[in-house]
This record gives sequence, structure tokens and C-alpha cells, in this order.
Amino acid sequence: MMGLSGFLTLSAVLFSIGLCGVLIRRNIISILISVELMLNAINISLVAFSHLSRGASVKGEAFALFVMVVAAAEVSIGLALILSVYKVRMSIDIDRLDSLKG
Amino acid sequence: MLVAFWILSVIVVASALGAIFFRNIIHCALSMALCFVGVAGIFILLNAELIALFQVLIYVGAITVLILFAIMLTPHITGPRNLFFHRQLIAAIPLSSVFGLLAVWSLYLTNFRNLNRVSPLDTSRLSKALFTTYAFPFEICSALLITAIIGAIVMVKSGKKEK
Repeated sequence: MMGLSGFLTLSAVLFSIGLCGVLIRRNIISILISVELMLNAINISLVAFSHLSRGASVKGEAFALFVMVVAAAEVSIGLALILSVYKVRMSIDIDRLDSLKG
Repeated sequence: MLVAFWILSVIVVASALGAIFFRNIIHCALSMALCFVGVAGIFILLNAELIALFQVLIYVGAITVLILFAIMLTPHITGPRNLFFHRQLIAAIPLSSVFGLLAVWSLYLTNFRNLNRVSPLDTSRLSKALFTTYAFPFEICSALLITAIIGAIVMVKSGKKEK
């Protein structure tokens, strides 16, 4: 269980939990938390592939670092968007943010 | 090794479940921080110390604090009805479990030939690759970060001006 399949199973489980969280939560910040969980799951599988493949390639680790950078940028932009949405609409419940609904 | 893997897996999965199922959103954010620490442990188990360090610095240090700030700046109602929408829950749990089962099933159908040994990969190789092979993506990342910082400041500031 400790091999590559163990780590990849953990990654798949974590990704499914994040997906479930994106679908069930009503608060935008909770959805952002779930997205972060999904990104972490992807990082686990990237690093596992990088270290458990034959001849230990460095590509997976470098990719995981870039994923972290993009996640940091995403979360700062996302939270700024949430704050400006809250200033305009006085709510961060996604059921009430339906202006684009036809 | 195996025991550590199981303990860390249980911590990661339990805290991830807590992060999506807790009623109070502050508990969600703290549970997410615990999940990130567990993932950092998984990285150490994989001999990826540098990634584990960045995981703790960026995710546990920066992202959790940012999310906690956003939670403090917006109203959080701890009642159950505002966090859950039960009709969606009925659809979401089977959907995500089917997705997870499909992923695990395809994983066990794939033949990863005896890739069961964690191979040593020292940090100097990663750093060298980061500044030679991946020098251009590295610079793009710094540009992305500065754009994100400026964009976040501009968005929050202009929102205030409109009001």
C-alpha cells in the first residue's frame, strides 16, 4: 500500500472530498477552501510520480512548485473578488449571486 | 514508513472531511490548515523536503491566514441552513464518490511496473533545474505573482471608491 498506488489513492480520495465540498457548500469562502484541497491532492500525485518513477525525474516537483505559486495567486485574487462582491451585494451566499441568471 | 503513511492519510482525509462538513466556517479553515500540515508530512515521507517546506510556508502560513482574514471580514452565519442545501447534498455525494471510485479503479487497472521504492532526489537537482530548464516559467511565475498582488489591491480599493 505504500507504493505509488497508495499515494495516488490518497490523492484521488482528497480530490473527491474537495469536489464534494465545491458542490455542497453555499459560502464562497468554503468553495475556495475546497478548491485548495483539490490543488493539494494534485500536488500529492505530482510529487509521488516524481519520486516513485524510475530514475527520479525532477519534473513533477518543479510542476508542484508552480502549482503552489498559481494557488497563492488564485487565492489572493479570489479573496479580493469575494470582498468586492460582498461590498456590492452584502452577501457571499452563492444562491443570492444570481444576476447573470436569465 | 507504512505506519507513518497510514497515520498521515487518516489525518489528511479526516481533516479534509472536517473542512467541508463543519458548520462553523472558522472550524473549516482550521481543519483545512491541519489537512495542509498532513500533506506536508506526506511530502516528507516522499523525500520531498523542499516541497514540504513550501507547503508549510505557503499553504499553512499564507493561504490559511488569508482565508481567515476573509472570513473575519465577511459575515459568517453558523446555522446549518445557510451552509447546506440538502437537495444538492443528495446529488453531490454520489457524484463525487463515483468520481473517486472511477479514479481509484483506473489506478488499479494501470500497470505501474514495480515503482514502489521512494528514490532519493536531492534538493540541489531541483534547484538547478528550476534555474536552468525552468528559468522561463520561473520568471513568468514572478510576473504572475506581482500581477495578482496589484490586481487584488486594485480590486479591493476600487470597490471602496464606488461605494
